[in-house]
Formats: sequence, C-alpha cells, structure tokens
Amino acid sequence: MGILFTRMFSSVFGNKEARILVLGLDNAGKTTILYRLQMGEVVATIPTIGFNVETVQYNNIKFQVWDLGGQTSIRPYWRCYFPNTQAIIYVVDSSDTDRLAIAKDEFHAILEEEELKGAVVLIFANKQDLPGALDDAGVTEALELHKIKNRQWAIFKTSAIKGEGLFEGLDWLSNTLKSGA
Amino acid sequence: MSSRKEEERNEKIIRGLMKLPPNRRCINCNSLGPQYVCTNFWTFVCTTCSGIHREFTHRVKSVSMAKFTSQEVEALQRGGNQRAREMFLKDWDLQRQRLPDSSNVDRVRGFIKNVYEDRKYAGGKVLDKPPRDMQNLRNQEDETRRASSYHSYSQSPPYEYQYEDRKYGKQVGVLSRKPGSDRGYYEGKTSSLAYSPGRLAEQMYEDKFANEGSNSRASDYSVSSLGDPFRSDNQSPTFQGKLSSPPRHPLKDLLVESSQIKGALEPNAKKGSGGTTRTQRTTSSGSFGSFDSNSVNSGSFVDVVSEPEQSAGTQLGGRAPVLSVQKSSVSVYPVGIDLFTAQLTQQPTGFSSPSIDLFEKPASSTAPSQDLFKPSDINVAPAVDLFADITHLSSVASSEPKPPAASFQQDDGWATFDVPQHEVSTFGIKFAPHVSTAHGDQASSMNSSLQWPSVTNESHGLFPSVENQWHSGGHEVQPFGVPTSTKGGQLTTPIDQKSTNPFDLPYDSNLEASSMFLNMSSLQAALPESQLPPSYAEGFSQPWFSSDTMTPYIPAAPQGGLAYLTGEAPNPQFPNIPSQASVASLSGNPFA
Repeated sequence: MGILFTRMFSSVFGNKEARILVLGLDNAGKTTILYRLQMGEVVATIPTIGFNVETVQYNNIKFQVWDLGGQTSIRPYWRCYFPNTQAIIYVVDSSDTDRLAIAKDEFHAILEEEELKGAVVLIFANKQDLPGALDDAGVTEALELHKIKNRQWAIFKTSAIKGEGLFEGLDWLSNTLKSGA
Repeated sequence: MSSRKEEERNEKIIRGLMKLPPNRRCINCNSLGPQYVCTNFWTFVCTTCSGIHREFTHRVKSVSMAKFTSQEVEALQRGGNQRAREMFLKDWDLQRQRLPDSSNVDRVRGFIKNVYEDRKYAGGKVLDKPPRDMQNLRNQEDETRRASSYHSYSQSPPYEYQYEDRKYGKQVGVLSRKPGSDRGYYEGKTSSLAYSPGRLAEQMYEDKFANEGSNSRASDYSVSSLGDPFRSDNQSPTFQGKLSSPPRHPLKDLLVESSQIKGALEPNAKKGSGGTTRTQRTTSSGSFGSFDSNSVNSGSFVDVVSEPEQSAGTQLGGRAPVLSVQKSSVSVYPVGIDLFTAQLTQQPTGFSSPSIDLFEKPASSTAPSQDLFKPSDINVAPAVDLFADITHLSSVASSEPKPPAASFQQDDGWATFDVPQHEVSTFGIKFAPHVSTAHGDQASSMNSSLQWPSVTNESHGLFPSVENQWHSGGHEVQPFGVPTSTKGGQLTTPIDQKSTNPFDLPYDSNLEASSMFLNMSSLQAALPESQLPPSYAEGFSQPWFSSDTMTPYIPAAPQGGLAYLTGEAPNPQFPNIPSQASVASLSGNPFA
C-alpha cells in the first residue's frame, strides 16, 4: 500500500518512475544504448555478463533501466527481472539478419511471459548506421510484430552510435506510460 | 537446437581448445585466459578485445555464457589463434612489433582494425615468399625458419611435453590430443611463453629501433644483440656489482621476442621462451633448469657439430622453455669443450655429471666442428665485411687496453662491437679452438665482469665472447694461428668459468656455478691479465659456434643451417648475412 501510495503521489506531481528492461540478443547494442541514454556518450562496452542498471531521467519520468546480458546462456535469467516491469525495450541488431529469426523467437517468448503482460514494448531497430541494416519495416516483418496482441508497442530505427532515434523512443515510452498510468 | 548432450560435448571441446597454448592468450593483446570467441575469425579473445571486436561488427561469443553449435565448434577447431595468426598476422613481426596492451583500448582498436579490417598483416603471399618490404635476407630467413621449424616441430614434442608437464601437469595429454595442428600448437606455445617477458623487450626494442622497422630481420637481430650490450651498459651498474640474473632478463626478452616472431629464430625463441619461463619460474626451475640445459646443450652441441638433424633436436630442446636460456649457454660450453677436449675434461670435473656427458659428445663433435670451421670461414668473411669498419675500432681497442682496459676497452669494443667481431670472425674461422675461448670469454666475463661491468650478463653471454675474441684477436688472435695454445690457456681458466658462468648467469648460478666461479675467480685472480687475454681469445670461440652451427645446419638445409645457428644463438636473424651470423654466433655464445 505504501508503494502504491507513493506511486500515485508521484504521478500526481508528474514525477514518475518506471522500471524498464532492455533485452535483446547479444551484441544488439543494449549496453551501448543504455549508456547513450544515461550519459549521452558512446562508451566502449564488453559483452555484458549479468546486467547494468542505470537511472535515466527523461520527460519527468525516472527510468530505471536494466540492461541484461544477451548471451545465449544467460537469456533464461531474464525472467528473474520480469516482475514489476512497466516496459520492455527490445533491441534488435538490424544488420544481423542471420539472427533475426532467433531474435524473433526470443521476442515472442518474452511476450508470452505472464509477468510481462502489462508491459509496453518498445522495439529499437538498432544499428541503422551499418550498411545492410533492415529498416523499421523490415524488422517489423522479421519480428512478426503484427502478431502482437493486446499490447502497446512501437518500433524505432535507432543508431546508438550516432544517437539517433533513442530519445524519440523514450518520448513514446514516457507518453505511453503516462497515459497508461 | 542441439541436445543437451551435444551442448555439453561442444563445450567440452571448446574448453579443450582453450587450453591449447595458442589459445591461452588473447590473440590481440596477449592477455591471459581469453573467454570469448570471435566467430568471424575463430579466435580466442579477451573480454576487452571482445568488446572492441563488436565495435567492428565482429561477432563474439562468450565461451561460458553462450552456446555453440556443432558447426561453430568445428569451425573453431579448424581455426583458433594459431591459424588466425598465420592468416592475419603473417606479416606481423612479433619481435619488432608489440601487440597492443589490453589496457590501451585505442591501441587495441587500431590493431584490430589494421589486422582484421584492413588486413595489413595478412600478407597475401606464401610463407616462403618474402614480405613485400623484405629483402633477400628475409627470404632466406623465412626458408630457414621453415626448415628449422619443421625440424623443431617434428622433434620438439618431447620437450614440449616436458614443459607442459612441468607447467601444466596433466594437461599435456589433453593438449596432444587437441585438434589444432601440431605446428600451430607448438608455435603457439613458444609464442605464448615468450610473450610475457617479450613485452618488455619489445618495448625496449621499439624504443631503440622503432625507426628501423624496414630493416631486415638479420639487422634486427644484430641490433638486438647490440642493443643488449647497450642496455647492459645502462644496467651495467647493477650487473657489475653482481653477475646476478637480472641483467639477463632484457636479453632474454629480446631473444624471446625475436625468436618467437621469427620462425627462423625458433631456437632463439625457444631460448627466449625458456628465458621467460625461467623468469617466471626463476627460483623453482633454476636448479633443474641448469641440468636440463646441460643435457639439452650437450644434445644441441652434438647436433650442431655432428649432425644437422640433431641440431633440429636441439632446437626443439631449445623450444622447451625450461632449457632455453641455459641451453644457449650450455651449447657454447660444450663447443668450447670440444675444441679443448683435453682441457675440457678438466672442466667437466668441475661440472656435474650431466656436463660430463655433454663433454663426451662434444669431443666427438670436435672433429666435425673443425670441418665446419672452414665453412665458417666463409661466413666469417661476410661478417668481416659487415664489421670491417668496426674492426678497426675493435682492433684498436684490443691493442690498446688489452689487459687493464678490458672492462672499459670492452665497452669501447662494444660500441664498436661489430668491428671486433670481424676480426674475431676472421680469426675465429681459423681458430676453431676459439669456441673454447668463447667459454673462456664467458668465464672471463665472470672474472672480467669486473672488467666488463658495462656489459650485462646478457651482454656477457653475447658480447663478452665478442670482446674476448677481440681481445684475443688483438693479443692472442695472432697467436691463434696456433689456436691450441690459446685454447689451452683459455681452457684452463675460461672453461671453468664458462661452465660456471653460463649456468650461474641464468638462475642457478648460485648453486653450482657460484662455486665454479669462485674457483675460477681464484684461478683467474692468480692469472688475471695474462690469462684474460686468452679468455678473450675466446672470441674465436664465437666464430666457432657460428661456424659449427652453421655447418651442421647447412647440411640440413643451406639456409636452414643459418637458421640453426641462429637457433643456438641470435644467429637466426643474422643467418642471412654471414657477418651477422657470426655476430649472432657471438651472441649465441654469450647466451650459452
């Protein structure tokens, strides 16, 4: 009850918090996106084992962003972070067309999770700066986003390296969360 | 998806691959224990490099956090760091060029870009073919390298195993089974071993020779040898005080680097690797190391003198990290023995039983060595050319300073370095006995260490011999026309010293060498100046080494012979250039 009250209180004053998971296959750019959002810089990253968590203040929303490692063997541990998650940012390496099928499978597996029933989904078609990257429409098709039911979702073309599209995505996210709150 | 069993099997295979020496270190930054696989090139890379690879859109997978398909495992079995090195780092001269440190992300990034994106070092040519920049020398080296490498590979296993056993214990068996090519395997080992110490050397190397990038390897080698002396000069203070091992490290490093990088230098590499291992092991290995080296040396020596093939064995032995440093010293030792067989016998007494065994072999070898001498003359001639200019200096130095000047003159000589060698080389050819002198030189270095303070232990090994030669050249060399006499003189004192010196210098010096030295020192003390010259005459010994090595090797493969020489000593680098070879031999003696 206390938490609920706090949440309501903060929402009244426009100071909202949101717990967000950044998921995706390994090497999709999750960590780079996280730190691009948090610090506005491109940082040298290493494959994430475990997670990175940062808070990002944006549009009066305090995003608590969890960036979980995407290596094959640690994907099963994503579920440990599902509870109380308001939004999923699913990052796709748009240039890694070979693994789009895997990305799709993982994505739909996530959507099946009961604990994420209420989470909105933001897809980042990342690495748009690379040649051969599919655009948002291509990724939408590859991920079969049209199969998403009963959930708010959006896809943005992004380039974490160039910093393009990320905050547009956050804009959508913050608006969606505010409206949904 | 593969079944769980298959996954487990794949992971097991990958874990096994990770234990292969070439895969024990990140291919890019040489850091230990890479945990990631770059699936673009099937290399094992560290965490830092994995992150950087991703920047170039290379795919990386964590060995422990990702799953590998059977196809990926097969590709990895066909790949690995050794293969990748052959593919992408063909033109990367490990001796001269240092792998970027993982702490310097920008350097690693640039390296990865150059290597995998721009493929600057991929070469497009066959191993035999010389690098675009390379000169004839280099070609020869490559060939020699191959020949030597081949031999070493075929025979190296035993040593390798020994090494493995010592270092990794049970893993040996696993390694042997591993899919990676034998060649890659061994090379990887040597390289991996050499690396750690190599870095320092490389750094030094770079500092000194950064501008010389275009130079042929041989030149590099010579440079390294020269560089060592210089270094020794810098370090001489410490050294002078004590013959302690520290000074050697630099040399070792250099050798290691050069050797590792260059196939031709494999022996050196071995030595280098050994040196590194020793440095790492230092105390622990020291005692047995001396024995090993003795045995190895004996083997090597014999090989050199009598049979080229055996020389390969030596090289192999050289590869064995443990033996490497001492080996070099040892090899010199035996040679000296051969020359002075009679005297040698005396020395052996001083040494442990193993040394005796060696001596016996050398004795047999002596005859061949003499034969070799003639060939060596040829080599010498070139050497002379190279050093002709220097010779003047050396000659001057020798003439002036003979007894007293030894220390300082030697320094001068060092500066002139090459020159003295010329003389030596020329003389050396005639003076097969010189080999013994070389020992004496070493011994002298021991004794002379006071005199030669400037020269580091390392330098002692290499340069002392040279200096000795010079001195001898100046003084006794002429007498050398009848080498035996000089030899005799040298043998008595020098040999003992030599034997002790080589060993002492390395690690175990305290154990046996120290005693030996003490004895020697007393002897020398008694005969300080007069004897010293003979010891200097030892310089000839160097020629011997070179010549010996040269000849034996030659049979195996003309160029290979050079490589062999280098193998024993720095020669490999010089093989191309006869003169250099002589120098190398000199250096080799010191090492021995």
